[in-house]
Amino acid sequence: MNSPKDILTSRQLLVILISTVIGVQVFIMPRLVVEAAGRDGWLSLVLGGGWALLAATAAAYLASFFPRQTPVVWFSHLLGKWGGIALSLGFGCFFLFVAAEVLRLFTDMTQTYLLPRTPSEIIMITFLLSIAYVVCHGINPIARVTLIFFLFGIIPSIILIAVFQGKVNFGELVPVLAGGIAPVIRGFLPAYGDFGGWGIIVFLVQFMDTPKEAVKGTAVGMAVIWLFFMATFIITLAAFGPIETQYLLYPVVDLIREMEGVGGFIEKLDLIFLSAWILSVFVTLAVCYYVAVLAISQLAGIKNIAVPVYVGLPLVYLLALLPQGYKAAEGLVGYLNYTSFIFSLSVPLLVFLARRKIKQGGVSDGEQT
Amino acid sequence: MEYKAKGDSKVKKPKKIERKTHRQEIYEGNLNQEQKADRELWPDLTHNIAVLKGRLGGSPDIVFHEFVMGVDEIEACLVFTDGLVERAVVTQDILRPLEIDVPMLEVQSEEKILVDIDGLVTRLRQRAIQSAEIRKEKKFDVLIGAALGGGVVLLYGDQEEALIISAPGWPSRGVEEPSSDTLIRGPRDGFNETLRFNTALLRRRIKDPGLRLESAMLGKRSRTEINICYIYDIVNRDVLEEVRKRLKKIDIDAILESGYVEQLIEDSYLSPFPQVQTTERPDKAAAAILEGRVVILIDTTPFALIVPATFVQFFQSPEDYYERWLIGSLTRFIRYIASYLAVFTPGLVVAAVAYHPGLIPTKLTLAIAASREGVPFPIVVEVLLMEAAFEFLREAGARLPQSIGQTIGIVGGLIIGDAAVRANVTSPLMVVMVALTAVASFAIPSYSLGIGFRMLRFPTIFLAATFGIYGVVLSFILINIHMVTLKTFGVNYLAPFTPYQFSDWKDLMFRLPWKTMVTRPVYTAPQDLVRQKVADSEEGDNEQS
Repeated sequence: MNSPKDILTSRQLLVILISTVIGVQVFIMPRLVVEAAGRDGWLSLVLGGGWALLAATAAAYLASFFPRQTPVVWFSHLLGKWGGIALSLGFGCFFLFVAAEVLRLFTDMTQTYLLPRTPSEIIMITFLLSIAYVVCHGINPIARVTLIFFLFGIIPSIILIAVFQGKVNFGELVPVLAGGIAPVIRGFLPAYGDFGGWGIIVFLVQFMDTPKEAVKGTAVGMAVIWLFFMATFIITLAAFGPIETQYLLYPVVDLIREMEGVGGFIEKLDLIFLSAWILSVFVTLAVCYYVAVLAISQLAGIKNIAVPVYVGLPLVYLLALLPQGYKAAEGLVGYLNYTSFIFSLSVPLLVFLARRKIKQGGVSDGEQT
Repeated sequence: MEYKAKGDSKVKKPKKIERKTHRQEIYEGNLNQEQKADRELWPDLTHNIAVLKGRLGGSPDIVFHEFVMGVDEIEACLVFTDGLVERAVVTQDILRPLEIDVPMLEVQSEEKILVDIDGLVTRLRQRAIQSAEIRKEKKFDVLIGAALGGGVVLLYGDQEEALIISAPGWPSRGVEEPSSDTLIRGPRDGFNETLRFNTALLRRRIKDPGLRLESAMLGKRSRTEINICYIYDIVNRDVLEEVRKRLKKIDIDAILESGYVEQLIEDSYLSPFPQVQTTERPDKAAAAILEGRVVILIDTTPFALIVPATFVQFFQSPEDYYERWLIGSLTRFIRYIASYLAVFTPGLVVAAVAYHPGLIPTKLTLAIAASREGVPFPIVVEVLLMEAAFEFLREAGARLPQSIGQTIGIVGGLIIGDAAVRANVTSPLMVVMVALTAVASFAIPSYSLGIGFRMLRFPTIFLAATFGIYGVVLSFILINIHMVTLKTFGVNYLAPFTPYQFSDWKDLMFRLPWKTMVTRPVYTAPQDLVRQKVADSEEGDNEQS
């Protein structure tokens, strides 16, 4: 189904994974987690990130059983025809919603910080058209553009947060577990949800020549993201404290604002930071949208992806416009987190099914190792 | 057999020829007629001469020198283009032997050697003509091509074959220092308009038997010779095959400059970025050949084409490699910064002033506001005005003779700039910014890439004016998407930036010491990767002992 040109290396997969998962949610992540778990949010992040890492690695392991086969095919193989179709459709719709959600959060943030008087529709349409430009070229240009943006946008941003020098008080982190274990459990879902983008792995491994490497790449990538989110959360909490963090709309942006400009030449670092972050959001949106379109067009048996890409654009646009106000837009995040969690629960089941099939010798192309 | 003039066939043709095929008709009418009657030589000298005269017309520069040679008084005729052949060669090495020496030989040896063409060829090769190349030919087309391309055609007796003796000698520039690609340190010789000189300059640098030249003729009417140069055991075969394929597809009337070929073989004609590198420097061409690339030399132009040409290549100057690596790295890095400045500075200025005054320090914001107080235009108009003014100045300066060009520089740059600021048409900051962008765009060694960047500046300004810094980032995104989808002869345009090819990063943003650059670039996929063997001192000692 894929032309032989569509080949991903394990390094590209790693970069795509990191760039996609560290998307737009990172800006509101500390607030969401603190709202649910308070000061012990970092424990929730440990649990949520750990679970996401396990799920993603298991998914990569699962997908590596079926080299160069589309998930649409092997879902049906494992779950029967209708089960497979349902799961593929579920993935497709999930990523369509994720794309819409990312677009909405991005637009809201752009409006807040960069373009207060520009209508959000214009921002959305320009952004979506640029996305379509790269997505209809397929996975390879997406991968290459991700590598570029990773180099110029994402790595500097990560470094920026890592070398944060502001008023940090790590005393905000203690006492640990003052409210018992319950807040940590409550914070689990929002914390896990920040890693929800791992699902792209299921659909990206099919492009790899050596799918076995995907497992390692995924594990490393998720670990990097995990560490990065933990660091961001802890620094944010240490800078603002659990109460203030709850009232900041985009705590991470405010964190960057705390930093004084380098050498006084650039007054506000957050603008530079935000413009670099647009690149990251672009990648997140492009990959999510690509996976959504890929899942649905593979299900429908459409080989040329360009038409579905443009047909899907208005859909994402409308979905993104649907929620009224910030609160409603963020409410959608909760539902997506649930869905993602359900997907993560289905992975062990699928792995179990796949192993059984292989033992029975039912998988013809699978590498039986 | 009467020679039919061109007009005859036209008369026969029905007059209802559609206009669009008119040109083709002339072409084919010509060809058909040849095919019908006179494709090959007849055993009749007068007729052959008549055919040639008819086909070549009565142009005064084409010389038909009829003479008689030998004791048998065999009639012969030399056909050549005056000015394209070396006169001395024609008189000394061709005419003299034919008219004097050969007949004398004949008399002395008392054998009639001038009976058939083979005998004549042998004799001429052995005894008489000291020309580089002699060959036999039957076809009129080839003979005419030779006569027009610096060859001398010898029609002789009532033979069905003629001789082509090459004696090229046309007005040509000597080997001079190239006017583009100038260096402070490096060889001073440059390509010129004569293909053979250029190949010689390459051979002087690479005395490897693996260096191969492939000749081809392009252009139906111009018949321009081109040479594809590569090293047999290094070149990437796929690229070479692709070059051959694309060159074969070219069917145009004339190739007047390498730009014709470049634009006919490039991958995307919509792109603002050059996908074929051009150079006037033989050392640069040689370096490209040694990296496994293919160089296309074209007669009548000093510009050689290098393919595949990736984005990073346009940032490289031969001097990066000739100077010590720290200097090379610094200049290389400066060029990358310059490229960003050239594209994004005006856009960023527009975005900062119009949308995000917080981006720049408060004092500077105030200074800008103060300097723009009297300026009646919004910032976008001001920036566009100044950028347009700069482009006018550049274009005017580039086309004028050098002495006047300098005047333009002074009048435009100094007087108008200063007066415009005083007249409140623009603010001093804009002058600084335009100058900065201009200088930055000239800091890129490749002229065509510099122009590409300057073109991209304008959409960026528009996007910045509409969307502020988001527009600038959008422009960056779009440019990048365009570049990652671009390919040049099967190689990714952004290689080795992406896909990451870390071993090639030694020669990317920085140029690391020669000792570390042990391999040729991996992304061009040469057959032989080893560039140098870094001798371990211990190993060397062991070998010697």
